[in-house]
Amino acid sequence: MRRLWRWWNRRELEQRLERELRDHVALETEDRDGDADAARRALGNQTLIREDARAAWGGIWLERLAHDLLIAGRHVVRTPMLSLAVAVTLGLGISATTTIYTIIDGVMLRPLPYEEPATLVTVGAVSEGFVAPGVQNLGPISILHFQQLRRRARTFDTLVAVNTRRLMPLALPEGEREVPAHEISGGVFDMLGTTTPALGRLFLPQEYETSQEGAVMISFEEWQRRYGADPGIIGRTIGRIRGGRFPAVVVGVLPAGFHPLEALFATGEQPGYYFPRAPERLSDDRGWETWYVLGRLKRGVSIDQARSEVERISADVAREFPQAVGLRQRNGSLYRMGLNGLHAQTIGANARVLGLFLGAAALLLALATMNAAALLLARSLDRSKEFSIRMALGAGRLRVVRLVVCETGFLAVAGGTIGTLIAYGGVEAFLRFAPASMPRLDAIAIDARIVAITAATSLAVGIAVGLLPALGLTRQGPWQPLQAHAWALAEPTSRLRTTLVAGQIALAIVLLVGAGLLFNSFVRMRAVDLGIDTDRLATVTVSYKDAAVGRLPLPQAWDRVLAELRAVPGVDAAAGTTTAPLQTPFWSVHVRMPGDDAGTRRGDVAAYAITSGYLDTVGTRLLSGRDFHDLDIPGSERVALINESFVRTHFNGTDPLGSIIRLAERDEGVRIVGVVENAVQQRAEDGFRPAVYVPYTQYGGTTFVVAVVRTTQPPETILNDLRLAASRLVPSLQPDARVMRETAAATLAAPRFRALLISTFAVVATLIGAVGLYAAMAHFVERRRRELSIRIALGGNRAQVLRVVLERGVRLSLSGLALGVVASLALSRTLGGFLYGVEPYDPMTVVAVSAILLLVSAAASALPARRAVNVDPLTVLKAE
Amino acid sequence: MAPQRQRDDRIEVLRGTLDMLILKTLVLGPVHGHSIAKHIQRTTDDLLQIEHGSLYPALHRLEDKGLVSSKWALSPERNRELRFYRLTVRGKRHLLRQESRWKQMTDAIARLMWPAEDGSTGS
Repeated sequence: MRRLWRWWNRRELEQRLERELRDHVALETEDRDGDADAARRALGNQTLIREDARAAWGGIWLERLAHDLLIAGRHVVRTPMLSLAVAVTLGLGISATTTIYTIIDGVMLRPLPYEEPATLVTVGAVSEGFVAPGVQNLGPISILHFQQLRRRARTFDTLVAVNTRRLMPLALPEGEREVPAHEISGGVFDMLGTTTPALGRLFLPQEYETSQEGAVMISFEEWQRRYGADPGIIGRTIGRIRGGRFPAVVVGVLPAGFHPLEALFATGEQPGYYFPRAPERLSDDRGWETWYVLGRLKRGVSIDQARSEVERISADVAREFPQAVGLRQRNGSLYRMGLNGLHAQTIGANARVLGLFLGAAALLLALATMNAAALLLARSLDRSKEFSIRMALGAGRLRVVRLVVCETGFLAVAGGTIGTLIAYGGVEAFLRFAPASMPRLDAIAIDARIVAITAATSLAVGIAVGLLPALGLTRQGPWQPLQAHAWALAEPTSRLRTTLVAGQIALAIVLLVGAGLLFNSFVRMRAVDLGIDTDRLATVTVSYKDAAVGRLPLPQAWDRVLAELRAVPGVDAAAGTTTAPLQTPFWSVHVRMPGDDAGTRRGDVAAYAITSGYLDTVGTRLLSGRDFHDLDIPGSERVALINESFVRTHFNGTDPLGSIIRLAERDEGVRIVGVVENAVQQRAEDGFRPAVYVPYTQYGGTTFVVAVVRTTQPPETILNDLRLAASRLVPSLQPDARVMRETAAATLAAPRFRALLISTFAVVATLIGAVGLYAAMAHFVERRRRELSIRIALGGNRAQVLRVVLERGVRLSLSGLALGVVASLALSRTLGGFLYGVEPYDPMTVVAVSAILLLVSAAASALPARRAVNVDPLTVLKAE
Repeated sequence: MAPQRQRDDRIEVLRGTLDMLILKTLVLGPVHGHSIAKHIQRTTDDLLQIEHGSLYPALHRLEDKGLVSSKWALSPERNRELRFYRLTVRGKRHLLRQESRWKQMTDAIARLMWPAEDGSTGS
């Protein structure tokens, strides 16, 4: 405390010291009879005295720092081109890491905006497919399961359910339009801690119970977007609800960012409308799976405990309700319910992707740092004289190093500022191009915390960049640089610089190889033959349970629906199935081949019930045997079709036609009458798995049909007509209709994005690397100017000079190339999960990338080389 | 002038002893800086060559630590206003501590260097 006071009063203390010293000299002079010089000498070096005294006063480090910063600032301003180059380079590197970090922060690190998010979970039916370690692949469950969960589960504090398969007719000036809406059960708001709406009120308990009321709530974003944040929205009728029978009246607006199912659906698909429903009151013993369940665990219960309880309950339910449709489709005893923490569910598979991006960004930052260091190193070489003088004047080595670090700190902070600005743009671009599967996009924003982290990173980078050359240059004693010619000293620092340039090239190679592999994967994925013809194809999912049609047996019901759809103008053909391509297979069977006993385990096989025109309509070819026809009716022999993958996997390539296989342990068996080509099931990149098709006439297990419709015109134009046609049959539910081509394109969104992002990094890296190489070569030429001029003056061939320079450039690139190829081989393994159709060690990619880099290096070396050749020896030598 | 580092070493060694000498000089009453220098010079018969200049930083340091206090006062003998330094209570205590430690150290060294034959510890 006293120190601070002293520092504050420094002016006063300085004056006092001055006076004391003057007095001392005066007195001493008196004693020495007027010999002032002797007096002063007796006192000693006054500068040092002042320094020591100042040290006693404390606070000196601050003064020194300010002084250093001032000198550093002057230096930076005096070499604008170099300073700008360094700042921009660092800025690019820092912007990459800041952008990716911002995204990771928003998607993964920020907690969900609900009360105590750590105890929130989601419960669902488990499907195959890896998501992430410790995270199950969950889907919706049925009312039956939800009711049983509620009744039996002990580990939960609350359980709520949301039904997403709802469309609400919205009254618009141009007519009615269906919009997605969610049904929510009571307790959602309390569980998530949302008790104050942005406007109006939440649902009342009775509104959940009665099906008469038409209360709806609007999401904040929808209120802003469609209704312009109009406060008069409360009490307004905006459309119809409950099958169009009641007016939908707005009772409240939800708070901003409230999306209970954001963990399960990407940001873009959040609905704008919610209405209340009490699932406990619904009677649904059919096991129809449309409900997503959220829950809050009791205090002290772990995810694992809750998970095992949920699994147990699903086993119990499977035993007690074997007729439930959902259970039958999913193979009864193998049906499992699972559970994920809500946060883990939200992140899902994105953790790996974001990790990949962060790694690439870090490489880019390392590269940019190396580049900056190399650029500064060159300048430091030229300043070695200055350093020597400083040290000769008494500046400690530490002081000089601190000076240099201040300069680089300045540049790095400038770079950080540039980087943050670029990052703003980067985040915007990311949000625009990010695939829909990236959750929590609205939580991604650059805030004060991220700016602080960026600043800290910049400082760290600046210190790192400055420390190395500074330490290297101040190692020798002060006298040598003042005597020797500068270029004789070049060796140790020149080696450092060469290493840096080679390192940059290596990093650029790693990024280029990564980009090449991802790009390759994307192209291959796009080229995958899906086994269907996506041109002019649409799918319409019609669930007819609640309608008159639902009372018909399945074949007639489907016929009725398909007939209605065929009548729509513009429809060329329509057929029915239980699952369309690029949807999650709804039904899977546990096949039993002839000769299998009860113990043989074969994997699940996706199963489809189809009408006879289905294969033609989707464009899947029949390879042998026959398609289903009208003679395959209930009661006739049960037949089936299998795909090529099935033949390969379970028949080992022998001809399957005529064989009888069983679709379950207790099945009588179906006869194989035909083989079809492989068609995509859920995802193109999963490859083709075995599948079996049965005629819809010999199947009775559902109350919905997915109609595939081939149209004569672009399907987008008749989607609405298709919906209307279907809803004429089933008024209570608006069907889900999509264009197949869009669905297929959407599956490529993520790989395309990955390839794009890494390619961007790779291109920037190559550019920076090229600039680094250019600068190194230019500097090399500059330093060797004397030597080169002598060569030329002595009659050396200019071509020889060119060769010297180019040789050096090529040697540099080659060493970097070798390093880079080795590094990329080591790192490519991490890309494994993202690649399709290419191995991580794909030689073609490596060769192509090397070629590109060598070309770029040649260009980067050529310019300085040309300048070297055009040097006029006389001018150079005269200047020496 | 010697390289920075060696000079720093020397200052460290001397600082403690210089402080002690200064404090001792102040025992008899307040003195000004020049007088302290002269006194040390005189009493040690010029044996201890200390640059006068190193006194002032030492004095400021001692004042910072609260071992001495200072103020401007008129010196009748030199006929001008000078900065006088005075020992504080803390300073006195510090001096006594330093004195005994110094005595212990020199005794120990003496015992090592010139051990008495009959075991007694020097005169």
